[in-house]
Amino acid sequence: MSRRYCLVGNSHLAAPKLAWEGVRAEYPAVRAQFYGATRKQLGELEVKNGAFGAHLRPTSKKVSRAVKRVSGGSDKLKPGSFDAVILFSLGFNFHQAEAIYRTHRTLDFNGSATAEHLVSADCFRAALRSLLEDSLAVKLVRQIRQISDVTIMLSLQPYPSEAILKDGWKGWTTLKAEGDVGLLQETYISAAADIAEAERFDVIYQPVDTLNSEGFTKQDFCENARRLDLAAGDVHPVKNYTHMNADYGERVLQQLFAADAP
Amino acid sequence: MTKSANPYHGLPARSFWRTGVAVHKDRLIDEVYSAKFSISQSDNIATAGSCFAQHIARHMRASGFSVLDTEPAPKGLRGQQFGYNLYSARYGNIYHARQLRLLAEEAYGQFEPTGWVWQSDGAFYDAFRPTVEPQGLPSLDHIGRHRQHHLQKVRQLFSHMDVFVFTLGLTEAWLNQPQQYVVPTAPGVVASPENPDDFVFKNFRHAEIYADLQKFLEVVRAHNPAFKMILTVSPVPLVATAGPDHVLPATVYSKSVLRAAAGDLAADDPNVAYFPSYEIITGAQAGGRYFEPNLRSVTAEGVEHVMRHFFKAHPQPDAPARDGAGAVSTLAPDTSAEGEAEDDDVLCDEILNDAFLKPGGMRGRSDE
Repeated sequence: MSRRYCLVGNSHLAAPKLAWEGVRAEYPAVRAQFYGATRKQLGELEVKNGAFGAHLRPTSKKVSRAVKRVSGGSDKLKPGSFDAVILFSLGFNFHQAEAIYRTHRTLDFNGSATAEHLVSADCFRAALRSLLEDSLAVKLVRQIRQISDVTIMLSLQPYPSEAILKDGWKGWTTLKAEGDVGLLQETYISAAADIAEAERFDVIYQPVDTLNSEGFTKQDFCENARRLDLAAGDVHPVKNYTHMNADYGERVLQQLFAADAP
Repeated sequence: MTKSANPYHGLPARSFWRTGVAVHKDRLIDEVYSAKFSISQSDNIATAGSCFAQHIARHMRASGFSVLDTEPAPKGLRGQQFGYNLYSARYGNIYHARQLRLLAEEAYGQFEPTGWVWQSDGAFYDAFRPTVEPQGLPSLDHIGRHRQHHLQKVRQLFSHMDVFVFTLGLTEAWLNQPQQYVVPTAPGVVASPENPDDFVFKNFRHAEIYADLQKFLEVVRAHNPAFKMILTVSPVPLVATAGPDHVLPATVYSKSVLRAAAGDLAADDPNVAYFPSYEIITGAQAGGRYFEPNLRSVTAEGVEHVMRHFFKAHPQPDAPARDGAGAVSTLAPDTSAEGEAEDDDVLCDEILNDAFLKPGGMRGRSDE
């Protein structure tokens, strides 16, 4: 039975898009449509009900051109045409939890003694949930839900690569040194699950085999990560720790096709 | 006495009701407030008090003053959840002079209260700020460590502020008899103390309020000798009285006592000023138009009018950029933009007393 997917994302869509070119022969029953642009550009989509049916479309020619470059022609996202819409990252990421942790910690964290500000677990969760709910991913979920009950999956943004520790990025090295990576990830996952239930989408977690024992992405998956707009012909800079390569994209595609198998 | 010896002869227009008040009606009343000392852009301002003080804090922040926030909200938290973005530290509403004094004493290690951990449904609450954690905290250890952290931030605040704006709210209080401290909500409203009988109703008198304010100044000045204080009295009437009188005379008594204590302290202390927000809102010239239909909440127009008077005497520095909310640091001036809160509501613990109003309109006192 064939399955039709619309894969929507910002720069993090590059990994699955590149991977798809290499693996599509293995999935003859799958049809994948990519719909991407920068986060700012995708934030300018609007819901329309017209002759084309209920859909999302860009509000400017500039965004339209950007989307068309990625999609290969269409700038409209019509959820009803797909079995599932899969969102990639779109600002829904672990960095939001780390940003709170830098200044505010609960007593449950090992690093509570060095926290600039102490907060309750309820307060930490409320702040994190608020940040994640403000992400473009959730905004798009809500826009799609206005016009469709299609299955929506959100592939969470990968955790930063382990190189971020070697290069001494302070917030992350502190998080690691305090031994709080695991608890912060649990808190983040819990918030993601709560939001997913409330907003009616499924969460696709990062493939376990892409993570090292400390909860960071293995550096191999970060090497030569490409930009989404391939017209730019670029790879991300060496010290970009958050964008992954086609190998990573392949793992993610395998996981989500398996999760959505009829 | 000759005409020229008449003591009213030659006084300025502000000294006469007709020229000082009656002719102004909808306009700013000239010289209703003259700054006793100036506030510069670099002065660190701290705010505290009853709910009306939230308006003052918000307007001062929006006007570019350096309003401190030693307990800033975590990134992402909205509005005034968990007691953030209300005042310069997360102490919630401080309605009473006694509450303020003992907060300072506790922060500087001169007072160690007992019986302040209250419980409800298995959760633990800080009786001095019972609404900052709506679901309470999970253990005695948690509540103790959170309070110590809060006191550390209060100590930082009091030690570094240049100007402290405090709005007196109430004389009626719930007093812990053994230690003579007060709490902002009655036992049982949010949570309950281990020994409810320790808490009794008390209506503070002028001399007590004056002494508490003086003691506060003494405690803080030992660590921060140069700070100045601006006192105001909340124009918001009592939501309920626990005394024998009708709520109207109870309100007037309360406000009159607070007004007198504030005025006397300002007259006696060169570094204490009184700002007449109470008079601007409640005076005859306002004709009641600065109150909402419930005759209690102050309208946005009223607050604006009060702040125009304030800023006339204390000119505004350049307003901060709307996106000025940068990284939070312990003593970084809070430059978060006006309107962090989603509306102009203020949060009042006192309003919780309204929950005891019976449907028939009689307050649900235990003796009724």
